[in-house]
Amino acid sequence: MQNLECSDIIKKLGGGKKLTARLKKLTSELINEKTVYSWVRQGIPDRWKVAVARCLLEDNHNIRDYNKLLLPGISSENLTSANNSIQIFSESKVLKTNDENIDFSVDKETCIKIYKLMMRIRRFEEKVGQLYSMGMIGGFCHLYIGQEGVIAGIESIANNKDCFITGYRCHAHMVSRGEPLLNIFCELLGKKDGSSKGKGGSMHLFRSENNFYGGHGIVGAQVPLGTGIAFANKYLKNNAITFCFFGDGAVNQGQVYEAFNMAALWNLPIIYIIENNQYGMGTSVERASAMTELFRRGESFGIKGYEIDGMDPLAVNYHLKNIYNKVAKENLGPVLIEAKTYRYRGHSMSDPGKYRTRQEIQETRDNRDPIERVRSFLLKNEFMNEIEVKNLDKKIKDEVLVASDKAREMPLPDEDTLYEDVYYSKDRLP
Amino acid sequence: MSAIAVREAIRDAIAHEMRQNNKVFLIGEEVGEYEGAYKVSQGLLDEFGPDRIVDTPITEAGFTGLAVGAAMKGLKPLVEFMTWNFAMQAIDHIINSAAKTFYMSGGKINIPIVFRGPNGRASRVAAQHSQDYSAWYSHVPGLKVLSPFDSSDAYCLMKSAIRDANPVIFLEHELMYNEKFILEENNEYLNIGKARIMLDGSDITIIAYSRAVETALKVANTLKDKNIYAEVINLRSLKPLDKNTIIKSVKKTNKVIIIEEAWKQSGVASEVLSIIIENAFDYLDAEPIRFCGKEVPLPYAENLEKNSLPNSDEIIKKCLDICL
Repeated sequence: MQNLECSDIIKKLGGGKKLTARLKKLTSELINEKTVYSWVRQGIPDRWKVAVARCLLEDNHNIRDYNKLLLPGISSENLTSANNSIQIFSESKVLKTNDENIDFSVDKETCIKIYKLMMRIRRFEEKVGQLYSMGMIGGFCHLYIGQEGVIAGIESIANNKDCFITGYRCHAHMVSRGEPLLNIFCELLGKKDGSSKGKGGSMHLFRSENNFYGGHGIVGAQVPLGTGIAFANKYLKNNAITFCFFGDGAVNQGQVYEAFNMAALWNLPIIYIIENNQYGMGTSVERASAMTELFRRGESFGIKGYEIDGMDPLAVNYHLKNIYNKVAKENLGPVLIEAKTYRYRGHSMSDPGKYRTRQEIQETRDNRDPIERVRSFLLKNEFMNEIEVKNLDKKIKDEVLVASDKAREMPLPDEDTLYEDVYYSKDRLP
Repeated sequence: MSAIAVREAIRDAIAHEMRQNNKVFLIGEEVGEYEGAYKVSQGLLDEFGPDRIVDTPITEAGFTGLAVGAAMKGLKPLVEFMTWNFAMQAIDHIINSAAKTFYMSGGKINIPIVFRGPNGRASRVAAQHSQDYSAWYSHVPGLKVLSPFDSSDAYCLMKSAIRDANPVIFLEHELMYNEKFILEENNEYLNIGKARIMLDGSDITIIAYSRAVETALKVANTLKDKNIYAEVINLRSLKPLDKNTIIKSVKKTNKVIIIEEAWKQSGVASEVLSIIIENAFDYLDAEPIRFCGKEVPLPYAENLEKNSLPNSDEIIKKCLDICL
């Protein structure tokens, strides 16, 4: 910041003496007049910038006139609840809902859409589990059963032009982005008509036509990748939002924070979603993370964080709608969501399950199941009656069965496709 | 035509392509206001502005992943590594995210991206800043690997790399940046995968890439004084490798040496030698020989540093042994 600007600020805030007193009161920190006057020569140190900015705001000065005053990643909005320079970012919150909010926020159509998607994912994943047990699916296979509320809630507020990216637990995101079940089954079975022509398998699913960018097998890698997709959307000025999903295991990868830093620095339009299913493989959050309030992990970059109940897709819909609008329309920059959720099945199909009790799983299924939650909401609000729900369930079950049966009949990839798609064949871009 | 330095050739190629396609952008540490740690991006910020010449924090894994993500969404990132040594922080994204995604997605998502920066030894900067990654990257299907020698190589290959729809590794040599050469193939887009015959000859083939081409030319000149005519091949595309040019030349001269500044084991020279043995074994009149960097972390002291690299006197002596 230019020193000229600094002396102007001090003048506007009533001179060095008055400012010193205000800063003392505001921050409860020791500071003397001499220090404040020294800023005219040296500029305002970073740790005092927020407090000074708050004084300007209190006096109704336009903070934008001093655009170099605030550090990257801090918007003037961050300042209002600040009471000193250290706590400035602690705006992260646990977001709660009551049924009253939701009654008004979710219409019939959205509610049925959410239910249908969750049901399709659950039945699909159950079938995948069966096929795996029958030895028909190879390698690693990570099921999403129990976590459906997160993706269904988010899909209900997103557009097709918005971009999704996730890790290896990606079947549900593929279903959500509209890939025909047949192609996903084919991919898992290593068939010719698989989404990736049988070359990717369970962890590498993509649907570029609806902006789903995978399907990544390296824990945490999708976070910089997703940030890059957001960078491209901003570069192309296409107003798309990126939803970047990762787990409670990935939050301890260093590259996640490298990405957070750049997303905040460049104000990228991205919503990071931690799908906290409470176990990174077999290690609980408490055993892996020194600070377990994962939604606060972006604070040191000025990224607002919110914890939501991922087992309640209606709550996900309600909260994300607001956040989405802020990111999309008010240029809020990156936001971090921690969706508390739970997977009923093992980390992968070979999970011995010794790190948690059966009772824990059963209790969650009985009391917090996202599908039951929406089913009872549908019935309570008379969006559908019992028979309609049953018919829908049956229709979905049949759809899954038909797709999986058909996939089993499909041919393996032609052997001469081994060398295809290593390089893009048209070497020169149009 | 006037001579231009290798660094200017790279810069001019980038600027040329950036003018043609506004999806091309340069990203890396100190590429903008500082104009590049080795001044390769000099003047680019002025011409293209900060949206397209993007200064990053020191965060290789982060900005490499970010650039690959941007490429997935259709941009054409040019990623500068201040040196390739720092790219080891980011090699997961180069290989797992950039090289494999096109295949793993069954051809749905291609990654048009160029990773570039100085590779190999510099001068007196010791082991952590002096490694040649040619063999590492040319091992990986899905990547193309280019290693220019002079300004013509640098200019034409960079333009071709930017036009390529695949991930391209562009390995520059710090000690060549200041060297000036006449631009011979101006304005051409080279077919990636073609070697360049620097010198026609009939008596022995000398194969090299990057700065080792300079050593090869020096050796060839000395041999010429003794009426031995060496054919010098500048590989310049390490993946794909131009097998035909190599085999054809060896079949003509029946003798071959390979010079490489990198370590010997599992190196580019090993690969070239295997190609020769597999395809032209019966044509060899003498055992093929590799001259490589010594298998030590590159030392700092001037004399030790010099001794750990291929030595032209030694190479000349061996060539005379073979040819006379």
